[in-house]
Amino acid sequence: MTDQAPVAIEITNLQFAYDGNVVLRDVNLRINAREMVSIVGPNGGGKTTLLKLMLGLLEPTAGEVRIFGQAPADVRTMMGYVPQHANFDPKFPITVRDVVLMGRLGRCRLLGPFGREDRARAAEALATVGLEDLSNRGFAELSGGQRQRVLIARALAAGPEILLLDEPTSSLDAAVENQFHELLDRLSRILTVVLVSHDIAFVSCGVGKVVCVRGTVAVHPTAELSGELISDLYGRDLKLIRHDHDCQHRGGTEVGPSEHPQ
Amino acid sequence: MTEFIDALGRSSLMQNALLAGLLASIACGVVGSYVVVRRITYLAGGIAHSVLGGMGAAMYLRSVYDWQWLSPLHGAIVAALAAAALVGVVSLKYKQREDTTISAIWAVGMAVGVLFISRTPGYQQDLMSYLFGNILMVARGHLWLILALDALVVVVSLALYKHIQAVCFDEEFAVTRGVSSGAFYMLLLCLTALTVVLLVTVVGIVMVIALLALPAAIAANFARRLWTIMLLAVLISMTMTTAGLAISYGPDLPSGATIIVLTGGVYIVTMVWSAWRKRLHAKKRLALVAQAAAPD
Repeated sequence: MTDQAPVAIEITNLQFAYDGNVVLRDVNLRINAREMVSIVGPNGGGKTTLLKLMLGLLEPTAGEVRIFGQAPADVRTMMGYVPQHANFDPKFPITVRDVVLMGRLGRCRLLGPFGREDRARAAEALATVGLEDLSNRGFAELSGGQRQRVLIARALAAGPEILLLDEPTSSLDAAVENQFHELLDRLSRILTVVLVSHDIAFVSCGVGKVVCVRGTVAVHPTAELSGELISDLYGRDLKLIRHDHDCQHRGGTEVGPSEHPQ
Repeated sequence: MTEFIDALGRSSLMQNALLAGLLASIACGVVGSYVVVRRITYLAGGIAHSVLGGMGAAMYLRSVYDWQWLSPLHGAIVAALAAAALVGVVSLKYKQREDTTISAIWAVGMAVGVLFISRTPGYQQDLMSYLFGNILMVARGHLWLILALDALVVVVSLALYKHIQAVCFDEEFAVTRGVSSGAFYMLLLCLTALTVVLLVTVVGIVMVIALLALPAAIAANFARRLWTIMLLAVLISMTMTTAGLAISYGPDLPSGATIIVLTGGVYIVTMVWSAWRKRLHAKKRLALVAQAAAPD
């Protein structure tokens, strides 16, 4: 551990099997603090499983996951989890503010309602994603993109060190996706960001490295992404679509110390 | 109606009945709302029916071993909690078989109750009052037990509101915040079990599930947040039990069934009204869009 940037996530020789089927094997991965990493791969390749292993929601069959040198379950409150927005009961009666406040669990008092500090942090998080005007709206009334931002605000409300997002752009249109890149780009300056995407086109220029998951993982700096690599990963030829976003180029071949101000 | 108010002034049975209905309504509104938003009414139905096993066993023990201190209500509490624990463990460990387990607990619980009651000398007539409820049978002593249960259920479910809400809304996220989702789910099932016992005294085993779910379902048409649904559901439940009691008194109708038919009627009316309002809203928007699109 002589690197200047602290290692946020370290996975060594990890194997994970579910009902006897090996989903992930020989996974070795190291993500530095304040790095933005994209996890891509085909459906069923084990991307979400890898994310859940990082969160400590699943236990590895062999090998280990370390978050800032500790077991995931012990440092859960340092991680902000953003699940897929489509997984919610559309009839659940809850306002945007109450969803964001959930992020304060684990930091708030046990009994009774949330305190003033919790409310202030939730409002702050909602402002970060630009939805402060919608705090009294019903969560179910929002569009997919808005819901996704609310879920990010919920994760931010806890003041996490690492943000883990599962398929944040599924079913979002291109314009909303662009806004999303800007938001993630801003966040990656202060946080470690890990995002799962089945869509290889969603690798913004802010992403420092790409983790390709298909049973096992291969790590590539973004600049190395090529057609050959992609067809290798998905098992067939895909058209490589170039995405140009209005953000500064911060990714690159170098995978190492963070270049952002601490 | 004047007869009812008259009887309320004279008869302590009537006062007990009214009080039992009002007390049970508080737990019913709070816990019923959790049950409706978490979509576990079927599970609550299973717990409710298994209660007969406990009631039958308690009556049998009381009569055969002469344990006078034991009442069917005690048996109901034990059976409901045991059923909740069993369903909870199965649902947490073996998710795919949950509905089968609930059905089994539902039927086996009732069967055990019927067997015990058949072996209990001289109590057969009471079976009907447990199944269909007889709120006029609530004794003053039981009222204290109901009050204690009610206080326990309401205090616990309000004190841990934010955790239970989070577990109902997004179990997985709650775990990432260090909340033990499994433990809170079990807690919710136990609260449901105790509420079921409270409601059994009001409307009987067979009809509990309607009184648990319908006030919250009615309230959900008018409120957007869980705690406002709870508040409304408590008021609706209080109104329904009191009105049902009043209506049934004059013509001597079964009070439990009257309460349920009344609640069911209000539920249907609000559903129709809500659907109609949505359609009207959609039509208005269509008209607005058409207006905006029309050339000047």
